[in-house]
Amino acid sequence: MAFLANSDWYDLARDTNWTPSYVPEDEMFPPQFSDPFGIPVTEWETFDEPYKITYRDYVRGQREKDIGAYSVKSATARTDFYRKAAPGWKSLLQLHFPAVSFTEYNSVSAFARMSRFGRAAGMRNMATFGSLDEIRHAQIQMYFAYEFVGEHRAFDWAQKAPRTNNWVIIAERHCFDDVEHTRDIVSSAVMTNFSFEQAFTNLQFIALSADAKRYGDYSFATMLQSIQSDEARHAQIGEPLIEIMIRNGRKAEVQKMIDISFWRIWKQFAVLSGISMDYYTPLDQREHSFKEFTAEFVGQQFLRNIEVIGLEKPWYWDEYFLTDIDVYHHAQQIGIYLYRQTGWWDVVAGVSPAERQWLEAKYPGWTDTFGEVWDVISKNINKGRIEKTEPKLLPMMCNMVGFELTGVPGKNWDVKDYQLDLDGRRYHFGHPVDKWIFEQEPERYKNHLSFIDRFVQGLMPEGPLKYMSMGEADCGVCGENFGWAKTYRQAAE
Amino acid sequence: MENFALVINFQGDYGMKVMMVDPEVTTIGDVARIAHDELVGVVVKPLPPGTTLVVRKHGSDEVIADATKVSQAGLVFMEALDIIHA
Repeated sequence: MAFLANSDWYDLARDTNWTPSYVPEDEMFPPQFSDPFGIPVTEWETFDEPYKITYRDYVRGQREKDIGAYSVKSATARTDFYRKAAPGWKSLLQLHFPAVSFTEYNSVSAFARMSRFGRAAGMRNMATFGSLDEIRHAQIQMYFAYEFVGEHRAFDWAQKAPRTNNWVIIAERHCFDDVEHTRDIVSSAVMTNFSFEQAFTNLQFIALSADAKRYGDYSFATMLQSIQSDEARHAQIGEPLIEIMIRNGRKAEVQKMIDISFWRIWKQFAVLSGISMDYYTPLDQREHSFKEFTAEFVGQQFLRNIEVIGLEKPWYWDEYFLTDIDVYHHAQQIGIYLYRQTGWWDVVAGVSPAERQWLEAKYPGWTDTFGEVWDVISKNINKGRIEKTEPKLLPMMCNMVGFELTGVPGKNWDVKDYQLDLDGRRYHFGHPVDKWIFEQEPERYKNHLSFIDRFVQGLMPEGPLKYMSMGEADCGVCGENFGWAKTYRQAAE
Repeated sequence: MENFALVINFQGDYGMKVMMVDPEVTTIGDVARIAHDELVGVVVKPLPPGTTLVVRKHGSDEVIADATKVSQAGLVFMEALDIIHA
């Protein structure tokens, strides 16, 4: 039996727009969800997805991806690999699964909203596949994490994390709720599919995958690549939307969406990917530094995408973004190590003498700044003053990012707080861009309480750990049992 | 009662910290001393001998006298203070 070529019927079959007769158009597609910009439906109907796929082909492709990802190694072989892995690689896996799995699952509903409220039939079609993609991403990552539950308690957090008020999770929720879940679907799609998925998922799913392959963790590498192949497809929802917005006089609005979401997502990935690549990945298996990966995937590829589509790079690109690449994750790594008890994963320092040399080579000036803090920490460990490696004062947190409010320590000390007073409350931001985002829509952000706001307002009567649903067994420790600091003593001797 | 939150920006530290104080009892000098005791030798290397610390509102040039009680220093809840070498 002869089949028509997909191109002969695809556009017609997926064109499911019709004129409703039982309900008004505005009730079927409420503008606050579907299109607050008032763009005519005939314009939305020009949406032309660059990557067209039929359901039959989709299912076939996904099935093949799953077979590839699940069959790389048996469960026993994966468990054996984990047991023999370096402490840093264990930290990376322990951090990744709880931090990522639930955001994937939440994305199912983000795409489902696009499927329901999108005015463009092609967008609805793509978004439906997007929901299915995200279900697969949640399932595969939960599955891989589950295999390690017997090895380390942190993997239980792949299930537990989203139901806690752990400070990392509060920060993630605040970011992704803002970008993916609490705006009209045009804004959500531009912010999610263009800024988030085109700019940054490459870092975690392609660049980290390269590190994983070099380290010999083929199952993790294959899983990451399998996910990214979906991301690359459904990320394409963003570009046709942006073209329609620009064509209909909404360039300023779409530019602002990207300026806001790019920065918000950058901060999340700087911590998740930055620390994983520059501190947790074993030194001899690092493909590139986080800075180099960011320069390639974000500085070149994403910037090219922005310019090709007719937008400008975010207004803070040269002055703030490029400088932040050099510093932000280094400061966060110090805090995560010091406050390790508050994380679900076991941390590593990643600053042995050889690693410090690498950091100084990749980030000139690291030794005189971030290195100075590590000097103090390593000296305390070698003198047996472990209690001094956990500060008693809690860290201040940024009211936009939700992570520690940090800067540059040591000889070139530069830590700034950008403040704003509103309705009797003082807000603190770690960066001018964080403050700028808040100022764009204070009503959206002003009632959110960061982890530290909740602490100082007395909302943790049983203490921060209980508030985060962390029993003693949940708390992170030094994954190397402080052995890394001994290399300093040996070097001195 | 230690229910007044201050944000501490201590010279040399990698990030800011939160300190809860009793504003009616604690002086600005106490704030500097507590911050020194909690942070030097923990995240900041030992200060050069003879170093004196001064406290000022974040970004301001005006030093707040050590003897001033927190409640009398004109600070808001969650005020950020720079604690720097004199």
